[in-house]
Amino acid sequence: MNAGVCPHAARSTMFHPSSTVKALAGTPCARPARRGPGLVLRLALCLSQCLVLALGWAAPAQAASRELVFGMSAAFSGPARGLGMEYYRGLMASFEHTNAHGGARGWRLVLSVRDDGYAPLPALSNTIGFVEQERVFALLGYVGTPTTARVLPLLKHYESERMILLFPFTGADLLRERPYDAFVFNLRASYFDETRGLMEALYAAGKRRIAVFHQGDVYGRNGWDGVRRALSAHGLSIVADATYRRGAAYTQDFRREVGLLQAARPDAIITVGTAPACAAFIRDARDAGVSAPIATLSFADADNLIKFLLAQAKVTERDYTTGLVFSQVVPSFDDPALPAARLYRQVMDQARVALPAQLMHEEYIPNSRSFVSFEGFLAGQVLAEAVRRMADAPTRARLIEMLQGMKGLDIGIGEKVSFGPGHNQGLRQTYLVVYRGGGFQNVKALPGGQP
Amino acid sequence: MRFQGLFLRLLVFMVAAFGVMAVATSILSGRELNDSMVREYEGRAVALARSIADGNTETLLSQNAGAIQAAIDLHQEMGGLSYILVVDPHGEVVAHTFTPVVPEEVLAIVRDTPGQAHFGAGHETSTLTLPPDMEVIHVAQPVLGGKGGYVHIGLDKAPIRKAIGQAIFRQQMLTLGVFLAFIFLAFFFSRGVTGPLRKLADYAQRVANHDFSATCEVRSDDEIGSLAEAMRSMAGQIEGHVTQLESSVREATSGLEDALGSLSAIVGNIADGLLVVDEAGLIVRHNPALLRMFGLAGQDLAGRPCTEVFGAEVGHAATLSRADALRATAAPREVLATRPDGASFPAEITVSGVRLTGGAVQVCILRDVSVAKKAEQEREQSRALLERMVAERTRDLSRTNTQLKIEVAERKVVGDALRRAEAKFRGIFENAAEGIYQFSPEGRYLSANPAMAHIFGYATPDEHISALSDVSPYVEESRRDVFLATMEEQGQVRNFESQVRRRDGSVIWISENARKVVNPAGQTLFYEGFVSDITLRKEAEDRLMHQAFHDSLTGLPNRQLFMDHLRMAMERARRRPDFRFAVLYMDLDRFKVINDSLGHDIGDQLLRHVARALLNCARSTDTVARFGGDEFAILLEDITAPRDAIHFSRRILDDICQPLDLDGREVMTSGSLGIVLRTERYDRPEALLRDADTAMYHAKTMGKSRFKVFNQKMHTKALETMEIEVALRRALDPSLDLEELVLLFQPILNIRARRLAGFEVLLRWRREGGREMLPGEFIPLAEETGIIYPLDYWVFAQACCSIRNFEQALEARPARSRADFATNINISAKHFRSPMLVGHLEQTLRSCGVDPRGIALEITESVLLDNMGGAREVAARIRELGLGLCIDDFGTGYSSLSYIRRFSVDAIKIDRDFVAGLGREAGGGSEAIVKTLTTLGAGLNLKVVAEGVETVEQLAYLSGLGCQYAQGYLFAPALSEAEALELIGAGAAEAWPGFPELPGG
Repeated sequence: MNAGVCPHAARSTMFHPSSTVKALAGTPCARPARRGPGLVLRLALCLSQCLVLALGWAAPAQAASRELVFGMSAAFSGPARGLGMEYYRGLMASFEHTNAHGGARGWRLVLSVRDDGYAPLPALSNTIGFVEQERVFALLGYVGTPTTARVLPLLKHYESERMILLFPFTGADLLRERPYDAFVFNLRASYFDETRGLMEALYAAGKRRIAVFHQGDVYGRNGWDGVRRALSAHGLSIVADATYRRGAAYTQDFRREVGLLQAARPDAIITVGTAPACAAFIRDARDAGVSAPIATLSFADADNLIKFLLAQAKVTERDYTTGLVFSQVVPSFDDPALPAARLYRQVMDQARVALPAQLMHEEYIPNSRSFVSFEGFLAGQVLAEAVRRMADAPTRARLIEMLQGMKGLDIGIGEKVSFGPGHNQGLRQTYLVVYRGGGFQNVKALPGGQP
Repeated sequence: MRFQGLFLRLLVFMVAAFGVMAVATSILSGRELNDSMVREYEGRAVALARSIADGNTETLLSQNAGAIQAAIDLHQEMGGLSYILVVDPHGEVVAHTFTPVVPEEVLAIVRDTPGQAHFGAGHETSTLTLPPDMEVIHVAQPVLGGKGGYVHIGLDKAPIRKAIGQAIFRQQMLTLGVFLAFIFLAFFFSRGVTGPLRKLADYAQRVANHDFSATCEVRSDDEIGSLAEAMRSMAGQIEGHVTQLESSVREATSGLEDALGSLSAIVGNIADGLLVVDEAGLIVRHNPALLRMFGLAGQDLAGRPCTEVFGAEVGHAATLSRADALRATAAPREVLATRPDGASFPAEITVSGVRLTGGAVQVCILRDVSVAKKAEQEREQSRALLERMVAERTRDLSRTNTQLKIEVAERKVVGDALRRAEAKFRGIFENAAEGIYQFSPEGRYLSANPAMAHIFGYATPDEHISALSDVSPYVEESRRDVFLATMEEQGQVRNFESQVRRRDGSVIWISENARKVVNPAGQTLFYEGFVSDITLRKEAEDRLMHQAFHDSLTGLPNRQLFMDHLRMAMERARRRPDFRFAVLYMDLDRFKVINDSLGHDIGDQLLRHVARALLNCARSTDTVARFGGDEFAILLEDITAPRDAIHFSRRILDDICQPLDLDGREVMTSGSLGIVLRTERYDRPEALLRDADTAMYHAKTMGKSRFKVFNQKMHTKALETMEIEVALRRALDPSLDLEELVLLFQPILNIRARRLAGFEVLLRWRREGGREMLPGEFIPLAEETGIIYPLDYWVFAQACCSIRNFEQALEARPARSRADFATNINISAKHFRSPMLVGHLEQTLRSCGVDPRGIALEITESVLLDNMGGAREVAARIRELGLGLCIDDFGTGYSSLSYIRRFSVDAIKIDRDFVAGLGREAGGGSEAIVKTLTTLGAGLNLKVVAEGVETVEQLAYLSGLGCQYAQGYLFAPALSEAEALELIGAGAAEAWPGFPELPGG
C-alpha cells in the first residue's frame, strides 16, 4: 500500500466511530473501510475520496486483489475484554509475521475487528456486518461460547455462501457437534476435553467430592456438563454447584456462592467462567477459608486471572495463587523445546501490535506474552498455511477443502494438527498448569492425598 | 360555606352509599380480573412450557447440557420467563437458569413430579412463592410424556398484580368522579329549599325583637311563598300598635323629667347647704354643698337624726321652729354647727316648712359664715405688719445711699488712671512703625494701627479694616490657610513671609509675627500680630540670587545655573524617553583680537550683542548661558528632531555674522559652534559639555563661523588625544626613566665660510612600540594641555647639557671654530604668556654653566602677535639674559617688520617652502621672497638662515643671493649628540667636509 492511501485511513478512522476497525498487519496504516455505517457519512466519505482519487485510487484496488480480509468479533470491552485483546494480539502478531515475509504466497492477511462485549446480540449484528457489508473472506477468532453459539444458526443461514467460522476461542461442545460442525473449524481442544483432563488429574490426586462454580449460560453449562460426565465415568456426581450471571466483574461479591459450595465440603472446586469472575470467586473462597484446590478452564485466561489475584494479594497481603490449577489447550510458551514457542516469543518481542484505538474504550494493559495470545498466534499460523495451500485461487470452498485435507500439520508444539470431514477440531491435547514462583509451570499430576 | 343540616345529612348518606359501592365493585372486579389473568397466564405458561418441551425434543433427548442450556437461555430471553429448569428422566437437573442455585421450593416440586409417563395434557400447574418475594406460576411439562424428562418453567405473577392494581385504581377513580358529581347536584338542590326557610326564620326572629325595618325577600308561588306573605302582613299590624303605645308614654314622662331635672340642678348647684328634715327630725334630703360644709362629702345621710349629724343647735333650729316655719318663711338665724369630728363653726340657717302628701318636712338652708369672719381678722393683722416693714425698708435705703456715694468717688480715681494708661499704649499702637492688628479666626480684622493701613496703602485703619475684612490681601490664595493652620498648630506664627497686594494693586512682601490669644477656657478669641514691609529686603535677596547665578555683563545664566538646567534636562530625558534635548557650545572667533585692539568696552558691547542675538533665536524653554570670556552654551530642550538644533545653529551663526556698529565702528565677528545631539548616552553633564566643547574645537579648526555636531570620530579622536597626553606625561616623568624623548641636532652651516655654524635642537618622541613621533604631532596637544611647560623646560635643560659638551669639544678646536657658533632651541609661544619662563631659563643656564651667547631661542611669529605687550617684555628679558632670539618660519604669518625691531630679534629663518620653491618654475615667487628676506636680513643686520636645503641648486641660489646660513639634508640630517660631537671633533666647525661645489662658485 502506498502513502497515498494513508489520508484515507486517517480520515476513515475519523469518520467511523463504530466498533469496526481493520488492522493490516505489518503496515502502519489501515486499509480504508469499504462501507461506512450511515448514508450521510458514506456520502462524505465519497466526496473526500474524490479529492484523493488521483493519488489513491489504483493502489487499494490493486492491494485489495492480493489480500484476504477476515472478520473478528470479540470482547474488547467489559470484564472479558482481556481474552479478546490477547487473542487479537496473537492473531495479529502471526499475520504481521506472515505479511512481513511476503504474505501467504503473496496474499496479505488482514483482520477486521468488531467489539461485541461478550454479549450474543452484538455478536450477531457484527457477523451480519462482516458478511453483508464488509464481505470478509471468512470469520476468524470469535471469542466466547454464548456469542458464538448465537452466531452458529446464522452460519447455517449463509450456507449457500459457504461462510465459515475459523478457530473460535471457545471449547463449547456445540461447535463440535451436529448440526453446526460443518461451519466451524476449531483448533483448540473442547471443554469436555479440558474437564476430562482436569477431572482425571483431580481423581488421581484423590479428590472425590467435586463442586462446580460456573457461568449461568451455555459456556458454564458446557463445562458443568463436562465435569458431570467425567465424574459419572467414575460413578460420582457433582456435590454442589452454583452459577453466576455472565458479565460479572472482579468487584462482584461471591461470598454467598462460596458459602453454598462450602456447605457440601468439596475436595476440589472447578470453576467455569471468565477471568474476573473466577478471580473474584477464588478471592472470596480463600478469604472464607476454603483451602481445597480450585481449577479453571483455559477460557478463564490464566494470565489475566493471576494479575487480578496478585493485585489483590498486594492489598490484603495473602497468598491467593497456591492451590490453583489451570487447564490450558496450548503448551507453555516458555518451553524452549517447542519451535512454535520460540517463534512466538521472537515475533511477540518484535511485533508492535497496536490495540485498535477505536476499541480501547476501557484501559487495558496487554500481557507481553500469554497463553491466549499464543493460541491466537498458532491459529494465525494454521490459517496462513491453509491460505498458502490455495494461494493460486483462494475461495471459501477451497479453504474448507484445504482445511479438511490438512493432516498431521506440524505447527511446532509437539501435537500435530489434523482436520477431516466430520472432524472439525485440530488439537485434542490439554495441559495442566500451576502458578509457582512468579510463573506458570506445566505439571503432569496434582499433589493430593490417598484415593 | 356553611352546610345546612339537611345537606349534611344528605352528604353523610351519600358518602356511606358510595363507599360501600366502591368496596364491593373493587373486590368483585379485582377477583374477576385476577381469575381471568391467572387463567390467561397459566395458559401462556403452559403453552410456553409445551413449546419448549416439544420444540427442543431432540436437544432435550440428547442430554447435552450445553445445548439444552443454549436452548433454554434463548427461550428465557424471548418468553419473559422467570426461570426454566430441565430435568432428565431420572429426575436429575440437567440445566437451569437460576443464579446461583435452584431454590428449595422449586427443587421440592422437581422431586415430587411423578416419574411415570403422562399423556394428554400432562402438565401440572402450581403457584409458588420464591424468596425474597416473588410469586410465580410454575408449570411442569413432561417431555415425551415424561420419558424425556421434564421442563419446569416459572412465570412471574408480578405483572398480574400490577394489572389488577391498575384496573382497581381506574375503577375507583371513576367512582370518585361520579360521587363528586352527585355531591355537586345535592348541594344545588338543598340550596333551593333550606335557603328560603332559613331567611323566613331570621325574619320572624327580628320581628319578635321589634325590628320592623327588615323585609322578607322570599317570593315564590309555593307553600313557602304564601307563608312568607302571611308573615309580612302580621308583622305590619304589630308594628302599628307598638308605635302608638310608645309615643303616648314618651310624652307623659318627658314633662316630669324636665321638672325634676331643673330642680335637681338647682339643689345640686347652690353654694348653701340644703337640708330637708321630716317631722321626726330625721334627715330626708340634703345637697352636696351641705356635705362639703360638714366634711361629709360622698356620704348619704338620709334617714339619720339631724341632731346627731349636724349638732344639737342645727337640729334644734331645724325642728323647733316647725310651727313658725309652717306659717311663713323665717328670717335667717345664726347657729353653731358641729362637724362629726367635734369641730364647730358658725353657720346661718333659714328654715321653711313644706307640706307634702306623706306629711310635713322642714327645708333648711345652711350657710357657713366662719370663712368671712376669719378673713376680717386676717385683714387687720396684715395692715399692722405692712406698716412695720415700710419703716425698716426706709432705714436700709438711706444706708445704701451713703455707701454708693463713697464708691462713685473711688471709681472716678481708678478711671482716670486707666485712661492715662490707655492713652500711653494707644500712642505706641498708633505710632508704631510696624503694622499691628487683631484678627478674628473667622477672617475679620478687629483692629489695625495706622502703620498697618499705611503698609497696605490705606489712609486710615478703619478703611483698612473695612476693605480687607472680607478680602484676603495675599497674592497666593492659600497663604491665609497656611497662616491659620500654622497658628492652630503652634499657637504662633514667626517670620511668616508672603506677598500681598496693596490697595493700588502693587505687590509687596510682608513678614508677619503673630500669636493666638485665648480666653481662660482655651477658646481662640483672636490673633494679634505685627506686620513689617520686607519688600526692599526681598528685592535685595532676589538681586543677590540673580547675581549668583547670572552673568553680570549679559544677564545670562552662568555656568552653575546652566549645569543645573542641564542636569534637570538629563533627568527628564531619563524619565521620558520621548524627551530630546541638545547642547550647543559657542565661542566667538577672534574675540581676543577685537577685545585687545578695540578695547574692553567694545568687547563687552559685542558680548551683550551676541547674548541678545542668542536670546533672540532661542525659545523661552531654552537656556542660553555665558560661561565667561567669549564662551556661550545653549541648552535646547524638548526638540522634536536633530534638525531643530541644526536650524538653530545656522540662524545663530548667520545672526552673529551680521556687521555691527559699535560706537561708530563697524565690528565683524563670527562664532564656532559645537553641538551634542545624542545626549541620551551621557551620565554626567560635565562629560556632555566637554564633548560639546570638543565639537566646537573641531568646528574652529575647520575654519571660522561653522558648527560641528559631536560624533563618534571626535570621540575617538578625543580618546586618542587623551591617550597621547597620558603617554607624554609618562615620558616626561623622570621617575619612570623611560627615555622616550630624544634630542637631535641638525647642523646649521655658514655657507660663505663653508663651515659648521651651530645646530638646531630637534625633539623626537620614540614611543613604545617603536613609533617615532615628530613634534608637529604632539606639540599642539602639549600646548593645549599645558604639558608644553615641563616639556620645554626639559628640552632646554637637556639641550644646555649638550651645548656644554659642544663647548668643551670646541675648546679643543682652533678659536675660529667657535666664532658665532650658536645652537637654536625651539620654545613654544605659550611661554611668552608665562611669567615663569625667564626665571627658569636663567636658573637652568646657571646650573649648566653654559654661555648664553651660544644659545638662541626659536619662536614663531604668532607668539608675538597674540600677546603683544606681554611678549615684548618677555623678549626683552630673554635678550637681557644674553640669549639670542630667532623667528622661525619667517614670512608665513603676519610678518611684520616692526616685530623685528620691537623684539630686538637677531635672526630669522626662511621657511622650507620658500627654499623648496627656488629654481622651480612653479615656485610662486619664492625667489623674490627669499631675495627680499635676504636683503632685509642684510639691511637689518640679522642672521638669515635658510631651512630645508636639499639640492646643490638651492644652495647655489641662496649663496648667490647672499644668504649666510643654511640647514638641510644637503648637508646632514638631524644627528644624535654623539654624532654632533664627532662632527665637531672632525673639524667641521673649521671647514665642512665635502661641502658641495657650487656651479659658478
